[in-house]
Amino acid sequence: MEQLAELVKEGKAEEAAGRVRELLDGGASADALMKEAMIPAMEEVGDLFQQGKVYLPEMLIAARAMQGCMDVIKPAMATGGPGFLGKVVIGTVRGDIHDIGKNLVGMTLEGAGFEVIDLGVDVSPERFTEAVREHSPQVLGISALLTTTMLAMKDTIDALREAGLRDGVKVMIGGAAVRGEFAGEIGADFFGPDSTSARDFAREAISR
Amino acid sequence: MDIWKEQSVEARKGRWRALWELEDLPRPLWFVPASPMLTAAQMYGMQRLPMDELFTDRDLQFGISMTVNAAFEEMQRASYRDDFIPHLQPQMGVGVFASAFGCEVAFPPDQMPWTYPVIKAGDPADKVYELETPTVRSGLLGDMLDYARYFDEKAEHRYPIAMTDLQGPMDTAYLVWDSCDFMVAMYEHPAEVHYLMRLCTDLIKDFVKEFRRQVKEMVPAHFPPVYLPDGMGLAVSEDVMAVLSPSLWEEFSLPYVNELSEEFGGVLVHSCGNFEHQVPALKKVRGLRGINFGVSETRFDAIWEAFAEDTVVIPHCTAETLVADFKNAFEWVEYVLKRKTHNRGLALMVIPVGGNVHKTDRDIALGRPVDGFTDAPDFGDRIWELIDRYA
Repeated sequence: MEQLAELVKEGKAEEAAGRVRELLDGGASADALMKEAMIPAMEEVGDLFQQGKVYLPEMLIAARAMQGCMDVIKPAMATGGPGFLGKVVIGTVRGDIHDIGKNLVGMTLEGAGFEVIDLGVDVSPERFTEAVREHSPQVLGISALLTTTMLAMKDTIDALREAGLRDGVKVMIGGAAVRGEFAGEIGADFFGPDSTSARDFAREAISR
Repeated sequence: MDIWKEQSVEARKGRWRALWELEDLPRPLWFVPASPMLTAAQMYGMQRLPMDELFTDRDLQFGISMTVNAAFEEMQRASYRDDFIPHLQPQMGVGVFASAFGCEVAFPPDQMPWTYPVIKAGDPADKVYELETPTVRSGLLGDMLDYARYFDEKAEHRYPIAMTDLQGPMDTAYLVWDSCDFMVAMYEHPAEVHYLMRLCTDLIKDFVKEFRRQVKEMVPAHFPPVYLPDGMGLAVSEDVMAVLSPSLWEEFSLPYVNELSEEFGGVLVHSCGNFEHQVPALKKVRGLRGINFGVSETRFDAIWEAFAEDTVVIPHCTAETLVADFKNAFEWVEYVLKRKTHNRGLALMVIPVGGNVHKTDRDIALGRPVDGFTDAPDFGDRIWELIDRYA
């Protein structure tokens, strides 16, 4: 388990996935692999990132290693494994094609055990609304890097409200131009300055 | 001519030369960033005018730039009396160098241009070897050379011509190659990253030299909109360094920045993010002529302490962060001036947010009334009061 955690932290995707196979073959449960090795490893990387001790590439390679492990584990989960903590839909708003922040949030959430449905970039309010209707997530994450695309966050929340879906989902927003007070102004539930706080909000949302 | 008393263009240029030469100055320089095309783009955004036309219509771009320059020159005379040197600048957004590698640049009607990577997420790293070696006229670069010559001739050489948006080698590579994959490739495919960095660096060197040939007076600085005499350096955007570790930046960017510095007489490095962790790495840049940074993102004290002795320091504050972190431009200017220990090499880029009315993109986004960029007719006087007090 310790070796697996180290491989995830170091972002060694192939070796980490190989180690997961070995451990599963040796009788370890998918639940144990996630809870005792993979999730703690990603949390440690996330904390180091938040503290400015590792940077975006290191976070990305660790997250990719985690994804590689998840690909191996998913079949085991489908056959009676631990399942996901909860479900989150994420996307970058209409008119904005920046995706690093959104990807980082997605990877951090996956690393924490959430099922993440990533709608990509330049996502219209209608598409966000459709995805919420289809997937019934506990949390919707909306990202915008540009000050000029912030209005689309409000449009998205308004569209959810008009569709009668707003009360059934917690909405978190994030992006370089966004500040905390803006979340309140447009009717979002939370502003996350970084991926770790987004993860913490999602955890809180599913525990309510 | 007393360059510190006169307000002619030549006097102001003399003040900029003194700044870049790191002479002891009687006061810091300050300037309103009246970049004609960025100002025009902001106006188009506010008034919901078709921004795509602004970026793709040469005559429209020229006409509006001349109008903006005339308006700012009047404000300079009447109020600012700052050190800004009006210029013209061909502009098609951040992706013009990336377009030379085959990247599609989209021109939406309500936004600045977008750039799509040509090496997309999930593509194999060796796709980089399939890229055609770009020329100085590949993609949108040919248009930028033509615009530059046209602007210069049509304005009858009245203004210097500033470099089009020159993202540095790493920022360009980051646009060419899907950004997340590019960063992962620094660990998994370093040879391919270096290969692309080499192509980007060679293209930038060739293009700047060609741009120089097109115009009478080139200002090799796209941002910040400063007067940088040709031969004293090249401004490069290095935004990506904010999200990289110092070791990765030193391995994948520093050699290429140094190469540009050697070619053009130094570099003026601009970055929008918080790059305080890169200070030791930036000290290794040979011929680092200047540093431009946002005070809300990177601490002024950290940059001043590290660079003030031998490098020009140009702090700025965007309208959005200005309103968020300071009450107005005056508070921000005083914040910086209180912390400087000398005037040598210091130039403040001051956004004219007057205090009573601030119009930010957020206000627009929330549908708040837009009353104008500044409502403070005494803006220049109040900045000068601070400059004189802390000189």
